[in-house]
Formats: sequence, structure tokens, C-alpha cells
Amino acid sequence: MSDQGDDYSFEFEDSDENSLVDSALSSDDRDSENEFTGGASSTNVRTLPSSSNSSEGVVIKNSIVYKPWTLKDFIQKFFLDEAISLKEMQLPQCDIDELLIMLHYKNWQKEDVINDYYDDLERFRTRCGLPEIQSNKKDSGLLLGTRFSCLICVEDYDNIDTYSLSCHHRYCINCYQKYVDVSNRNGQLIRCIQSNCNLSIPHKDVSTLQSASNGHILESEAKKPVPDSSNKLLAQAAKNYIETHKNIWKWCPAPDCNFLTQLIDRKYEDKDKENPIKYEKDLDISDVPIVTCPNNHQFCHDCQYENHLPCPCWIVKLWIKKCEDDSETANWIQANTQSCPKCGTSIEKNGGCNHMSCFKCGFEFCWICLSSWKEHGSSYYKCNRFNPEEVEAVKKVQQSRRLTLQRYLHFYKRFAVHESSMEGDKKMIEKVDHKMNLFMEEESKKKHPDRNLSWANIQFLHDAIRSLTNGRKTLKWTYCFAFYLAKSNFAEIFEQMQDYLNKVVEDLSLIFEELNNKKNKNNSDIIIKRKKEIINLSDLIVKRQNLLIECAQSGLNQGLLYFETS
Amino acid sequence: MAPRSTAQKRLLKEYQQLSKDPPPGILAGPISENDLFKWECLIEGPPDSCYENGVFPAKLNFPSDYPLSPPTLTFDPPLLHPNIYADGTVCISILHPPGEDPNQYEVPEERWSPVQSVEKILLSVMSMLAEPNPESGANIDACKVWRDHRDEFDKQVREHVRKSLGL
Repeated sequence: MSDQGDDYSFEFEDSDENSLVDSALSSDDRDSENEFTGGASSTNVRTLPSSSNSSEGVVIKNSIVYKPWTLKDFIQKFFLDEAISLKEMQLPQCDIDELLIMLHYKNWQKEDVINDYYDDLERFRTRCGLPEIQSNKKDSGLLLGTRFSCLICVEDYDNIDTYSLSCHHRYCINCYQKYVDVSNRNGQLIRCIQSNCNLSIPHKDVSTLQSASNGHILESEAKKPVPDSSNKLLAQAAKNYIETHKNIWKWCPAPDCNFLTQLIDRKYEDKDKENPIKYEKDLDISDVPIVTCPNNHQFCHDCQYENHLPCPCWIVKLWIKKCEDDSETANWIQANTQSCPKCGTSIEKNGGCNHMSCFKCGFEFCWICLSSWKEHGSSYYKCNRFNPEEVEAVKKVQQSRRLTLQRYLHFYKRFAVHESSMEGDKKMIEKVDHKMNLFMEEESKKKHPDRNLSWANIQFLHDAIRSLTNGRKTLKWTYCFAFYLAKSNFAEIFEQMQDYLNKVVEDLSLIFEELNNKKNKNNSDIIIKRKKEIINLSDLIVKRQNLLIECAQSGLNQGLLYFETS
Repeated sequence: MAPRSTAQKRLLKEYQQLSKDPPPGILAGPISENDLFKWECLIEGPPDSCYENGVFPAKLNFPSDYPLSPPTLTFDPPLLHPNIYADGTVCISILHPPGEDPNQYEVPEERWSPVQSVEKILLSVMSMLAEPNPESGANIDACKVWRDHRDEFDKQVREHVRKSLGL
């Protein structure tokens, strides 16, 4: 990774999953995360040479300490491991299924479970939907392949699996499967199908029931002793949990990315942590909490948008709102059309004479003075003589509106072009990757390879690709930045740097384009030949990108750059 | 038409059950044999209530995933009652799926579950007519009148009953 260890374009290394699990903070730590920062431990971690090497799986970057997670690790750590630790430490008399139900009921707060358990056990068990301790578990659970008449679907089956909890409300597996599927949507504990029966279906039974098809469950699913992290009810519960702890947990916003990040700490230094509103128009972009998910997507932990440096979050919000709402359409209408003086329909004049007739109401009028054409008689443009100043004023307003619109369109167009180029780059990269794979396969089949090539030798391609995408992303957001930037000498310097970055990004993009377009089979030769060039360019992109962001940061901090947002 | 889906089978079965052994004061069945998902029913006003002697037509609409989801019940014409919306839609607990309330078992009222049936719904509606539940009012105006001016409320309902009988 060419940009590793760098403050801005820091990339999280694919760390192995086990280390993530082992090293994760327990939920207790999560609750007292503020202490985490105060103690010596945080300073120790901070001195690590490169944060990505940290065995903790915790990443420290600028003002933010965070940890990337996969959903499965999350479930394992905060749900399953919690149940196991309860079983091992505090409540060995309960089994894992019951502990999971208790934890689920108490929103996965171990302390609450222990409190309620010792407070009033009977009451707690009833609330969770657990049967009375001495209840008879005989004849409950799954029954495989029996003759059964189900009261819900009113079918008589000769051979079907059925299910019930210890309440003996037994129904066929088809009905139970549909019921569980529907009930799983809200991520709460699933109770017995019978109304007024409060018993909860254990998590592992939920996945067993969901595996059913054609009246029979999947036996491999039923044989699992404990639920695992692929359990759908647990996944739904995790989503609920994350949804309700939005300030700490964030989903990666990249499409189809199922990873998340956990905010462990943020340094606000002298700033008031309790009052983020105060910093609504914060100009310090070193504070922007850019995080990287396990899949290498960078995004802002605050606004859950992709890495939008050099723009501060509030500028991003303004920009997105501007692009989303129809205000610019309205501006266009105002700049380019006039309303019919009679019915108010907007009319665009795209040629012809000034004698207009409204297509809606048929009113005939003069485009210049907007009064009825009848008064004009045969003498053209007579209207101009009556009140030339008024006409000039109207024209001036239109002119300035047109200018504002043009300015916006200028920046928006470039913003959008880079956005779509990123898509294009992605596709091209897949093709290059595919070609390289084919080439490597061929090469490995040869007994005496011509060249000494290995996987490590083409790793540079992936790095180049990554810096290209990241460079484009930064470039894209500089146009949003520049739109709001007030004119000054420093703004010009910024624009100059933007231009440099633009150039190197396009240069590298061009090389990839060539690699892809060449029809000849010696593609790989070109790659090897241009290797140096590619590496240089991708390094240059990273450097320019960082310089640009640094320039924006220091400019904003020293008040040399400032925004105009009226 | 031969019934195909679970919902259709179940609805047919419930219809057979209801016609074989109808509960007192209730008549219900599909409007047309071709569409089992739309039912019509007649509910008698419970004795000793202001709805006494009335016969109220209502429509039942079943979702395609019945019995997983509950049907909706609408009085047509609308009926003045604290738990009936101004458009005639009935709002009672049995017509709602179990909520997110984690303490739901503490609430004595019955929620919808696939084990419930049309017969149970209609019986619940009858008891709702006899005893309105002003705690979860649907028609706020009706709630007010019912709570503050019971005489006026009873009078309005009796008027409605008389009119519906063509008297």
C-alpha cells in the first residue's frame, strides 16, 4: 500500500478475522469508552509506528479512534460471546439458549440480565418468555415426520415435521416457517405463534424453522448445538442494536457493503464535546472522522458519506441539498423563461419574432414589454421607448441569475463527471484484473517462465488502482469545495493545486485505458514496461492529494480560505 | 373455483365452519364465490346497549398472506362508536399484529395471531359495541360525546339504528 501510514489516505490493512474477534473491546469497555482515552493505554497505542499494525484491530487516525467490524464478528462478540461469558462466569446454571433470550430481551446488556435474574427470577423468566423452571419439556420441540392436522393452514398431512415450545401449541413446520420469516423483520424476540402465549422461540430454533421447505426441516441446521453468527434473528437484532446506537456504530455507506465501524473515541481537544451544534460551521477539516471499513471503503463517520475531504461536513450537507432539491431547476426557469402575462405559464423563447402567443391561453403579447400585442399596432419595438430602464432592470436580474446558474453548473458538471468516471474506472479495473489473472495462469503453466513474475510483482497494480479511485474522490469533492469558496489569492492557489491533481489522475486513468484498449495479446508486456510509470503516477496522486487537503486545511485554519454560503 | 393458496383454503374452511355453526347475532361469508378475500357480514347490536335492535353491515378484507396478517373490518355505512374511525374502519387489538412492546404480555387484550379466526374477530367486535374502549379511541369526536354526554351519544346511535331499519 503506497499510502500507508499517511494521515489522510490511510488504508486499513486486511487484518485476519480472528485477531479482530480476540482483540475487540467488550461491551463493558464500550460503556466506559471515555475512560479508555484518559488512561495510559491510549497513549501507548498512539505511539505505535503504524496504526494498522496494531494487533488490537483498533485504528487511530487524527482525531478519531475507531475499529472496523464485520457483522458476523459483531454478532459473535457482542451477542454470542456475551452469552458464553455469562454461562462461564455468572450464571452457569442456565443454558446458552436461555441466556441468549435473556440478553436479547435486555437489549444485550449483561449487567441488566444479572440484575433482573437475581431480583425476581420467576418474573424475569416470564417476561423473557422462558418456561417455568420445573416445567415439563417432554413432547415439546421438533417432531419429525408425523401424521398431523394443522389448525392454521387447515391441512391434514400424512408426513410432516411439526414444532412447539413447552406450551404444546403445536403447528406444522410450514406455518411456523412463514410465521418466523414474517416476525423476524423487527428483530425482536419471536414468541409462540399462539396469541397470548408469551414463550420465546430460542434463536437456534429460529434458524432451524427458517431452513424448512416442503414440510421438512434441514437436519444439518437442527443438529447445530448453539446458534452461530449466521443466525438471521441475531443478524436482525444486531441491525436493531446498531440502529439504536447510531452515534457509535455506523454502517459502511458503500453499496452492497455489509461492514461497519465502531467509534471508540474522538479527540475534541479544547472543543465542547457535549455541544456539537456549536461547531456547525467548523472550518477545521483535520477533525473530519474519515474511517475505513474492512472492505477498504473510506467514509465519514459523522455524515456517513464517502470520504469527502477537503470539504467539511456542513459544506457537504449544503451541497447535497443543493444538488438534490429542485432549486436549480427553478433558477433555470427564472433565468431562461418569462411568464405569460395572462395565465402565468412559463414560456421559453427559442427563436422567432417577439410577437408571442401563449400556447396555453392563446394570449398574444410582446416578449419585450410583456404587454398585449394589440397595443403595438404595426410599429415594431415601440414598447422599448416607453420605459427603457424598467426593461434594463429586468434584463439585469435575468443576467445575474443566469450567471449564478452557470457557476453552479460549472462545478456540478465537474463533480458529476468525476463521479461517473469513478464508476468507469471501477469497471476498467475489473477488466485489467481479469486479464492479469489469465496472464498469470498461463505463465505458471510454462515450465520455464520467460520472466520472473510473481503475484507480488503485480501488486502495484492494485495499489495504483486504489490511489486512482481515492484521488478521483478527493478531486470530485474539491469541486464542491470550490463552489462555496470565496474568491481570493489563496483560492487561486487552491485551484492551481486542484488542477495538478486533476492532471495526474487523468494521466494514470489514460494508461489504464490504453492497457484495456490494446487488442494485442502483449498486454502484460505493456504493464511490465510501464510499471515504473504507473507506480510513479500513483505515488504522485497520493502526494498531490495530500498536499491539496493540507493546503485546504491550513488555509481554512488560518482564515486564508473561507466559504461563502448565502 | 378450486382453492389453491393456504389463505384460500383456510378462508373456505372458516366459511364452512361459520355456516355450519354460526354464533348468535352474526352472519358472515364471501361476497362472491370467486373472491374469497372479500367478505360481507351482518352484526347484530348487542342487547342492553344503545346499539340494541340494530343490524350493522360490515366488510371484511383479507390480505393475501392471511392468516399471518389480520384482515381489516369496515362498517358500511360507518357507525358512531369511539373505536370506529369516521370512515367505518374498526380499530381493536385483535385486528393488530403483536406490537413491539416488549411487555406485551402484560396487556390483557388479545392481539392477532394466525391462531385467531374470523369468528373470534366478529365476537370481539360485538363485545366492543357493548363496551367501548375509550383508552384507545379511533374517533375522537365520538369519544368525547361518549365520555361527556352519554345521553346524547345514545340518542344519536338510536337515531342511526332507526334510520338503518327504515323506521
